[in-house]
Amino acid sequence: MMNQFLQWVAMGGYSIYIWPAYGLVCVVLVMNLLGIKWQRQRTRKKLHQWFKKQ
Amino acid sequence: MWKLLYQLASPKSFYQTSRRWVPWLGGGAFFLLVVGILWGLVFAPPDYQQGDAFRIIYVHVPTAFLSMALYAWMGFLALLLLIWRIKMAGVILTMCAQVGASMAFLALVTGSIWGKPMWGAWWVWDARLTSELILLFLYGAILATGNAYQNKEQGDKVVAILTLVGLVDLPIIHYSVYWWNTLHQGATFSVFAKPKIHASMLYPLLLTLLGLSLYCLLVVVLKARNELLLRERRQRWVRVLMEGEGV
Repeated sequence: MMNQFLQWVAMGGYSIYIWPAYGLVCVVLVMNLLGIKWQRQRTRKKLHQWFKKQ
Repeated sequence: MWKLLYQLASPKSFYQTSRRWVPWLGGGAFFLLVVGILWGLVFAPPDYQQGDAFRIIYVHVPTAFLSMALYAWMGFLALLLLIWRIKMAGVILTMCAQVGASMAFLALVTGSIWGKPMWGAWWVWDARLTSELILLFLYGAILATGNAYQNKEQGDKVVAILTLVGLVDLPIIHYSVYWWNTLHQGATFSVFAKPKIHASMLYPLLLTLLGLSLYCLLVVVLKARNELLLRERRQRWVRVLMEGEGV
């Protein structure tokens, strides 16, 4: 069972290419979602300041 | 249909309607991406020539496809903005450019990682790679131009013109593998032709493609909702909404 898993992780000797590629995609997809959260916080802050000035 | 389009063209209606889409888009994207990637990494058979290295296809092809599809969609939005002066089109166009840039970046980097074991080089000045790199630069130019304008509505028009000029790169990317001798392989699947890839490898690819499409739509909608609040801050509905949230 463990051997099968390790064999799968090794990806026929291409693991050093496959896993970084998938890892990078995951990081960028998560960063995009975090970017929305930061954008939302910035927007609320700017609107708060703008409404205060009015 | 027309009623829905009319609703989407109004910032207030878009903000209210799009709220209902978010859980469906998020849930659908997550489910399809998890199933597609697991299927591709665990159950799809290795390629007879490339072995397991071909599994990068499940992230490379969807990101490359979406980098082009988003740009084509931006071209349509640019026309809506310039001809019919639909304000919402300008907002969505800029948000598509942000997501499209990340897709083009991922397509280039995952392609480069795939290229090393297959071609023996991280990068070659091949027609397909170079034209995709130009697409990434186009996205960068569009985002930089949009950010340079204080008046966002004026900036949207310039960005729309730039987008239309850049559309010329899309057929070059698509046909580059036929027009020139390139290292890059031909299209994996086409809308009009029978796929060259076996069904056991194709289905997970279609799932990841659909999942990533929903993800892109989700990010564009969420970004557009935030941007709308800033742009429409003088409108009464934004003030009422913000007072409700305690801002």
